[in-house]
Amino acid sequence: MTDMPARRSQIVPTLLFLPAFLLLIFFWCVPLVPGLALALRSPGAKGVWPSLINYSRLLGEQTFRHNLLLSLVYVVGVVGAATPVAYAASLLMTRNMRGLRWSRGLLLIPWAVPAVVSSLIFRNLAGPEMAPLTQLYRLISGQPNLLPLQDSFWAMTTVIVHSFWRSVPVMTLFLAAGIATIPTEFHEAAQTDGATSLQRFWHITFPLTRMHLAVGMLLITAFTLQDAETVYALTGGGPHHGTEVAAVRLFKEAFDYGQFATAAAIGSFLLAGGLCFMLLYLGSFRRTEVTL
Amino acid sequence: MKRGVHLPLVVLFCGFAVLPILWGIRTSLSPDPGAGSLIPWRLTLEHYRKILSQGFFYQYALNSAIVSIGSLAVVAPLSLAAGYSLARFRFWGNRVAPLLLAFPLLPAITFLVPLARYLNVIGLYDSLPALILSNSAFCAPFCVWMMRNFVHTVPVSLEEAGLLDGCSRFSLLWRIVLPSALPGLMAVAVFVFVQVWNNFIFAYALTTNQSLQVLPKAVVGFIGSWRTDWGGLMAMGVLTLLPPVIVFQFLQKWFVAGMYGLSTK
Amino acid sequence: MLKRRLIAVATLCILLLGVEGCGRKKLRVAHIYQPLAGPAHKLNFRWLNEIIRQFEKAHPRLGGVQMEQIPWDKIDAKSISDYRAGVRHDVIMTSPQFMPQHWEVGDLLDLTPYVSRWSSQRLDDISWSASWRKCEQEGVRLGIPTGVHTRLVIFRRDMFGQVGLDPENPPANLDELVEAARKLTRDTDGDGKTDVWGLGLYMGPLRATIELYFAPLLWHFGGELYDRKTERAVFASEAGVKAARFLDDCIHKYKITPPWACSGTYDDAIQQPFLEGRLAMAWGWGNYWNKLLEEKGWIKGLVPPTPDGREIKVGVFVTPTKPRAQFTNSWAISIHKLSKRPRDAFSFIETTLKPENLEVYPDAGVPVLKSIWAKKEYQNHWYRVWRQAAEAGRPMPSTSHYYDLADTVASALQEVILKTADPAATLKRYQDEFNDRYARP
Repeated sequence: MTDMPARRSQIVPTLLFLPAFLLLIFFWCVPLVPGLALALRSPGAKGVWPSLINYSRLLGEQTFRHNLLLSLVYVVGVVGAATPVAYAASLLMTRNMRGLRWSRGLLLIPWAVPAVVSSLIFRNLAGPEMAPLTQLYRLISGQPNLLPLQDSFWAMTTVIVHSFWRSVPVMTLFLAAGIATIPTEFHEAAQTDGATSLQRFWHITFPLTRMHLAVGMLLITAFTLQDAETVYALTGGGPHHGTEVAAVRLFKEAFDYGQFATAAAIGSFLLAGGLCFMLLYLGSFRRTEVTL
Repeated sequence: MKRGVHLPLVVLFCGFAVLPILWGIRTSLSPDPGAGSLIPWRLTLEHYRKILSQGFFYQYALNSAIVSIGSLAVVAPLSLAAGYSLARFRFWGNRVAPLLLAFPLLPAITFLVPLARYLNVIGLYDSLPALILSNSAFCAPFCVWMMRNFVHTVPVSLEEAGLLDGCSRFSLLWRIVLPSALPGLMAVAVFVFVQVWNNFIFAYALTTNQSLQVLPKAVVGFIGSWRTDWGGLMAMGVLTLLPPVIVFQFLQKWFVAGMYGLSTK
Repeated sequence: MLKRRLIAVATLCILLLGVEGCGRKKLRVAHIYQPLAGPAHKLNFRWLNEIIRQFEKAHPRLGGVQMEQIPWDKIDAKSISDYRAGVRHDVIMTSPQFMPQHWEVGDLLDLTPYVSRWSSQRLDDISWSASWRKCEQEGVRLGIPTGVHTRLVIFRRDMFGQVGLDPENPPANLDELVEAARKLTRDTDGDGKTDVWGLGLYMGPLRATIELYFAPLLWHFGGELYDRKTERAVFASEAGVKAARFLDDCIHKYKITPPWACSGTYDDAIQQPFLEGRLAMAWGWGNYWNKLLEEKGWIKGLVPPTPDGREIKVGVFVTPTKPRAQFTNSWAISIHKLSKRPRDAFSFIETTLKPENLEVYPDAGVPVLKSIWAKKEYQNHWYRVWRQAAEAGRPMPSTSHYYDLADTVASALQEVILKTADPAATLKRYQDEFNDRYARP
């Protein structure tokens, strides 16, 4: 592509790449290493290094296992709910309709709202007696005196609904980007062959947007897994650890209880969990061939 | 899908997206948010008045603006340069690039305390530059990846023509790549502005100075020890969410185009 | 072009850093008041500004004060995490509740050298309060309390008269309390539903349940929440079971407490209903609510206190348990261990502790200095009772895991009361779970 000799061709891209790289190294990696290393140090002023005591304590604790389970439920709930809705929304968005531009802007608003603000709005939506979500839950559950935020199940539901509300725009955007890259000839050809909308979706749209779906799901998973801020603002960990996902537990250990070694250990669990999800998504979505 | 189904569905989706915010607005306008009916009979601007009549609000808003725009000023050029280098060249950066997708997986809370210690050592703790740099680092991976994808879709022919004319790489970047990468940069701009304006965790962990507070942190301050002023809280929340939502609405065409990797021309 | 930009950016960075450098010379005072967040915060913020003004006027060469605002429920944790991060503060507001943790981490300066220079009269003036004792851990003085927040039982004098009870002779023990409450629980409009409840209690899932309702009863029956020596929770003792049973009986057996007292917030269950006339007596009434009574005209000239203050529609009496003890706490003021100017920091604290400043401190509650109590304005029945409550008051247990302990006990009680579970088994289960979580090997 260039006429420069091989040696020099490394300098220009390196110079261009370096500032961003250095920013990430200095503000992310450098603090992260001691941050995670603390997980291998036993807590207290006279800590011993290395030590696996934080991990053994956490894994032996029923509450922490519950934290991990809640994190899993949270991620699966949000991604599972957001994906179909995002597909529907992205299909709508990519239609060439006049006047759709205003709707596109509205549809994407949830992502633009500050997380703390939307958490508190949802907390208020499920808080007082006459609030809409409280009334809705009472109707569904048949318990006329239900206070959602005092009940583990409904509090968790509210947390998932809130994150789902926030995640749909991001996922929709990714999927819409993917759908827009599908040449219209594919759909036209399929239509002349007599394929229904559903068949067209399953055999053309879905396979060709796999990579976009994977990245979207990965991003949503990453944000949800680490998400302490929104859950903490909404329920504070819930009725007695009822919505205390691992990230909230991390936040509490670090900022409320001052137990940094424990917090670091939980952080490493979250990192490991995130990497597992990443491998899962990218692995299963690698195949992008489609048979016409 | 039949045409007639579209409009109601669109309305449904949009309603779903906007409804919680409408509730927030409703609470911020009602004199007694806890009691009363779903739609309050009397509306009041008292909560807004109490907030807007204080100098602190404007100071916090200014801080939020400085941090957001500052982060933008850092991330935009950095991600353009890095994204361009990844898209056009083959070098060691390409091997490192997949890791960019792994960065969002690192839990930010884990390294907040070491980051604070580290910033304190270099003398940046409890300052706006600390927030700007931390937020920039947080947004950078995604923006670099976005710019890389975007530059991929820009035809190389323009650059090759420039090279034949004898431009250096840097002036090439400035004169040819930048204009055609503008939609991508706008997408980055919107993304960074919204993300950083809304960020609470870095402000919480890295600043305590009264005059350096940002709006999301001020919102959380409404949750009191004995009772919470929901009306005031929602008013503060609405005021805080207005700038990112408005910026987003005005620039959403660019943002979406940037995400799609297409030119808007 | 690029070079010019780089120079501009570099200059900006240097300027910003320079500004920071200047800022560092100021005395850093960390507090909890967010002026935007409502009138209470605003008043306290104004008070703090007045203190700063006095301090800067008296010490013009000390470079001024920089205020730092940290949310009230995070300030102690932030002091600790900042200590670990090497970030310094000078003066910092703290909560006596966290003193055991502060002692363990060592993030607060020992104030003994400064306090030992006080006259014995001055020490005597302040050392009577529960918070003063709590702020000292293992001989290290970690903070100085700036007020007293205590609770007692409030009642409607008019309702007492209506059912033949003497407002001048309120219940002196639990049996009399229950009896009086029974008489006071009435259906005033004949629709078959109770309109006025005799005894307001709060048994929701929040810490207030433990602090104000379970703990006083637990102490009455001779128990404790936590044993510091063995570092184990001990609330599931026989005393605990009796306390839980009493609370449960108030709702289900004696029917003197409304069932809606088990949810919502402490405000929703006690303050609102009492002011609306739905409660004849309210246990756990906090002094921070007295202003509302003055606004309603139910007391006159008592908030702020004047020599002719009197009770009109309400009266107070100390919690009728054997130790007469209610949860009593306060805010305290401390010096951060990493402060480079402890002497200046203590000068600031001295300014704060001036009697004329403490007297008008909105967040003080009732006075922490005996000398203020001795004033004319406090020589009336109302304040005599509040003083008794403050003197008999007790703090919450000394454990680093206090928040978790309180949440655990609150959840246990929710199960006992809402799901009518067996108190003994339920309390024991939660106690074991808590102890297992924090058991030291």
